[in-house]
Parts: sequence; structure tokens; C-alpha cells
Amino acid sequence: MVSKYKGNELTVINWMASIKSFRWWIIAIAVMFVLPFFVPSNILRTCIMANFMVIFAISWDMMSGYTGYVSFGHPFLIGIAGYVTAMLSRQGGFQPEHIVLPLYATVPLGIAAAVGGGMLFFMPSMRTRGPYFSLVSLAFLMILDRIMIADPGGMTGGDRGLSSLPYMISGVAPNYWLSLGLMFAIAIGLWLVTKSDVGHVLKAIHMDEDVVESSGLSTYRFKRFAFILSALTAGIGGAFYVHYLGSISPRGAFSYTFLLNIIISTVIGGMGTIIGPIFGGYFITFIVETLRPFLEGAWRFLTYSLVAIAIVYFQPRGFVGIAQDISAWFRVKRRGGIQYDQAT
Amino acid sequence: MLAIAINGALLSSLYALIALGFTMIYGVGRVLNLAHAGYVMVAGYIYYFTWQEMGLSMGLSMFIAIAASAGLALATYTGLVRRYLNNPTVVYVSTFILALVMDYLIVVFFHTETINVWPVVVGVTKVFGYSVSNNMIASLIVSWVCIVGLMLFVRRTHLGRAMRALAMDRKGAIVSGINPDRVNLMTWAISGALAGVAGIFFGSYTYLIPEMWHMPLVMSFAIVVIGGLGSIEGTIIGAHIVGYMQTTTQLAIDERLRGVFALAIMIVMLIFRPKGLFGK
Repeated sequence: MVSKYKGNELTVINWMASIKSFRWWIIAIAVMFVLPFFVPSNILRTCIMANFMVIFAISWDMMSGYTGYVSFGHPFLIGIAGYVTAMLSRQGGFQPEHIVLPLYATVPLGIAAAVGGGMLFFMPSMRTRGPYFSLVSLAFLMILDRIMIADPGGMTGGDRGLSSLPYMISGVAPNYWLSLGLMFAIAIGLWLVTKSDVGHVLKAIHMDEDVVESSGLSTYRFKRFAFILSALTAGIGGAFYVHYLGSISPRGAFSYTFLLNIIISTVIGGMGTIIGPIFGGYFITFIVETLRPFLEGAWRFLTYSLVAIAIVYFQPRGFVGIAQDISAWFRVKRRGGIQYDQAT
Repeated sequence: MLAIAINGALLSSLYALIALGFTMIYGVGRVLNLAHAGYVMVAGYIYYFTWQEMGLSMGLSMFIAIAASAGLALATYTGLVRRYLNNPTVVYVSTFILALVMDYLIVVFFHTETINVWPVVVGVTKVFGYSVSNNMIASLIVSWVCIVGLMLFVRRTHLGRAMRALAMDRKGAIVSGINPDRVNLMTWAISGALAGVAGIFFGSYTYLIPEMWHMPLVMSFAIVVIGGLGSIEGTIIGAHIVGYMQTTTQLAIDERLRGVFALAIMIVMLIFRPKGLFGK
């Protein structure tokens, strides 16, 4: 994305940011990489789910956390990618002329469908602002849900969805490494983007879109850029997730609980940070799994929704905000109270 | 045909009740309350519980249900929304989570089975050879009484004028001595009560199920977008477009596609006339 402004080009990727905090990423990747040698496979399975949740949450963060356009339609993008790759790759389909393609063809097609479908349907609504965008994104989600349930041409399996899909790779540890690799590739890539000038413009759009517009930048182009990255991420996550689970159904992909999980992961991690959703996604997934033996279905969702509301209410910047507060407190303490600069 | 006309009229008036509260909250406070359709569900369940399980009289349980949903709306405003009136992102997210909290609470106490509610008025009347339950006629009358009452309230009373003033020009209204917080409180209470009325009749029109708030929420979005966010006349007309659309789809085309066409109209509307029919 190149946007000329007073003769200077805005950077899209900030390589300096990568050099400065390189060691933290290396440590995180190294620790996570050796995890399968130490922890049992049931925890590893939870980690795989968490990795996918992080991918979805980062995707939501890229669009909604940065530009402030709250999207309730993210499962729409995930669902398109998932359904396209599922329909094309399903072995022994229910109709003889059904096309069966190998995974390395269907997954890119699914991702392309998510980006293309998103562009086709979401982009017109991105010209509208604030509440209208949220409303129309939820409407798209509902429409896709209804169409998938209505099962046009017997392709989507209706209410029960599609199952017995081919797996990407077998085994818990390889799946873990695959999801981990995807997650870190996406997280680092988008993190570098958001540390650049373009990232700052997106944050500025969140604060005051009119000001950005009047300083000569086309906000529409920046929003489109953020949206394409977001849809790409959602598509990658959705396509790989479907082939990890081996099934897809409207109840799983389009339920409000799934949407809630994505949003909560981002919000309690910290919106507009990319780092936050990593912690948020792991936190939510592990809380759901840890509570599973103690509380049944609805009680569990109730508990963590209340936790999420409390976090949103008391610290809307999430874990990242809390961490910043704590580090600021320590800095003040070390200096012995707040010191004001001498006014000159 | 007649079935569509009558069912559509009822569904439209119920949707109008829900969407009016939704749009009033937006007009006065400039925030969207995504938990709004949740009050409809909670009121329906409380009405069912107090009347059919606890055995209170019908009038008393109606009063409790309406008071509860008004109270819930007030609690949402004072507890969650007031602090973040100038940060809509937080309001969308927190009220959406609140709606799901209500959903899970209902699942915990009433489980996910459908519950049939006794009709408010029993009996059947013949209208042009098509038998209509008295309950539907009663709901239609009550919801129109509420709608007309609300319009008179907004036009004629001092508080109603204060609401309109806030919706038109917030700073000007504050300068001329209107306390926005008090007007906001009243607006939330009124819209909660309207949602409560709609909830009582929604339960007896169809049945109670923890998912019953999904459709009204999305449909009140569609209504408000078609009619214009913040406009009462637009909301009523939008509600009839959406209500008849949905009834026609449900009775004449395919039950599973209900809502799709109304949402399609809404999207076309957003692209070609984003302000809606009556929006400013």
C-alpha cells in the first residue's frame, strides 16, 4: 500500500520494530516450540484450539481493534473459507459429479473466497460509519447462516453441516506445530505492519476519522487495506481450522458463542495491539477447558462472560492496558514519586 | 393471503415496539444497545414464570415482567453504558456480551426446550372467514396503544420534547437547561418497558426459547436502518416493511429463509440511501 503524502511514502512494514523486540519473539517462539516434549497431549490439544482462536482474534483486532469499525460478522469470513474448502475437498461426496480437489488446491481457494467474498459484501458497508457497519456485518452473518441451513443444491449439508473431511496432517504434535507456525507468522507479520506508518494512520482513524480525512489521506483506502489483511487472516485460520477439526456446521461456525469468543479474546487481551489477542486467546481457551469438569455448558459460558464484562468495564484496554499500568507504577516508584519537569 | 395480512400486522407491531426503544436510545444517547432484544426474552420468561409457575394473577405478572425489563434497562445504563457514552466501541462490546449473559442465564434456569405460554386472551374470532385468535387481536391493539402513546408522549410532554431536543442538538439542549443524564435514564426505562410489553406478547404469539432474541435484534437493526436511525415514523414504517416481508417469506416461500429478504433490503438501503427513509 503506497500512499503519497507530501512526497514521503508511508511505510507499510516497520523493520526497525522487529530489530528492537526481536529477542522477545525469539524467546516466545522457542518456549512454545519445545512445549510438545514436556506437556501431555490433552493440554496440547487445548493449545491447538487456542492457536486458532488467537488467529481469529488477531484477524478481528486487525480490522476492529485498529480502525474502530466493530465487526460482528467475522464468522462470515471464517465460514466462507471453511465451507469452500470443505465442499471442494470432501471425499465421496453425496452427489456423483461432486468435484474433489486436493487440499493444497482447496485451502488457497477457500482463503481467496474469504477475501473475495469479504471484498464483495463487506466493502460497500465499510463506506458507512460507526453503528451502521456493526449492524450490517451482523446481518451478513445471519444471511450466510440462513443460506447454509437452507442447504442450496444439497451442497452444504444443511443443519448438520459437513463432516469426515480430510485432515491436513495427523498427530497432535505436528498439528500443534502447524497451528503455532501459522499463528506466529500471522502475529509477527501483522505486528510489523501495525508498527508502521500505516498502523498509526489506522489508529488515527479510530480516534477521529474526519481529521485523518481532512489531512489529505483517503481513509477508505486505509480501511480497505486493514480489511484485506483481516479477511486474509480469517480465511487462513478458517481453512486450516476446518481441516484440523474435520467438520464444519452452521451451529459451530456461525453461533453467537463463537463470535463472542473471538471478540472477548481480543478485548480482554487488549484491542489494537496484536500482542493482546495472543494472551486473550490462550486465556479464554484455557479458562473454558479448565472449567469444563466443574461447570456444565451454560454456567461455564456465563462465568467467563461475566469475567469479560468486568474486564471490559474496569480496563477497556485489557491485559495490555493492565501491564502498562503496572509498569508505569513501578517506574514512578523507582523514581520516588511523580517528578514534574521544570517549566522553562 | 389473509393469514399473511393478519400475522404480518401483528409481527410488524411487535417489531415496531422493540425497534422504537432501540432507536430512541440511539437518538438520545448516540449509543446502540445490543442487549435490547435480550430484555424482550427476559420479560417473556419472567411473565411465564410468575404467571404459570408461581401462580400469580395475570395482571400482576405482566406488571412484574414490564418492571423487570425496565429495571434491567436502567441497570444496563447506569452499570455499563454511562461511563463509556463517548466510547461506542466499548458499549457495543459490553452490551453484546450482556445479551449473551442473559441468554446463558435463561439456559441455566429454564433449559433450552421451547416453552408454550398461555394466551393472554382466549378464544377465536372469525374475520372474513379466517379464524384469528383473540390473543393476536389483543396484542395488536395493545402494541398500537403503546406506539400511539409513545408518539403523543414524545410530541406533547415536557420530557418528550427534552428527548427530541437532545436528539437534535446535544450541546444546545444542555445549554437550555436539560439534564442529559436524567433524560437518558428516562429513555432507557421507557424503552426497556416497551421491550417488556413486546416480550409478553412475543411469548404468547410464538413460544419461548433462549434463542428468541436473535431475530428481534437483527430485525430491529434492519428496521432502524430502513426507517432511518432516530426517527419514530420511519421506524414504524420500517417495521411494517420488515414484518410483512418476514411473514410472507415464512408462510409462502420457505420457513428456513426467514429474515434473509428483510436483511437484503437493509443492505440495499445502506448502499443507496444510508440515512434511511426518514433519517436526517
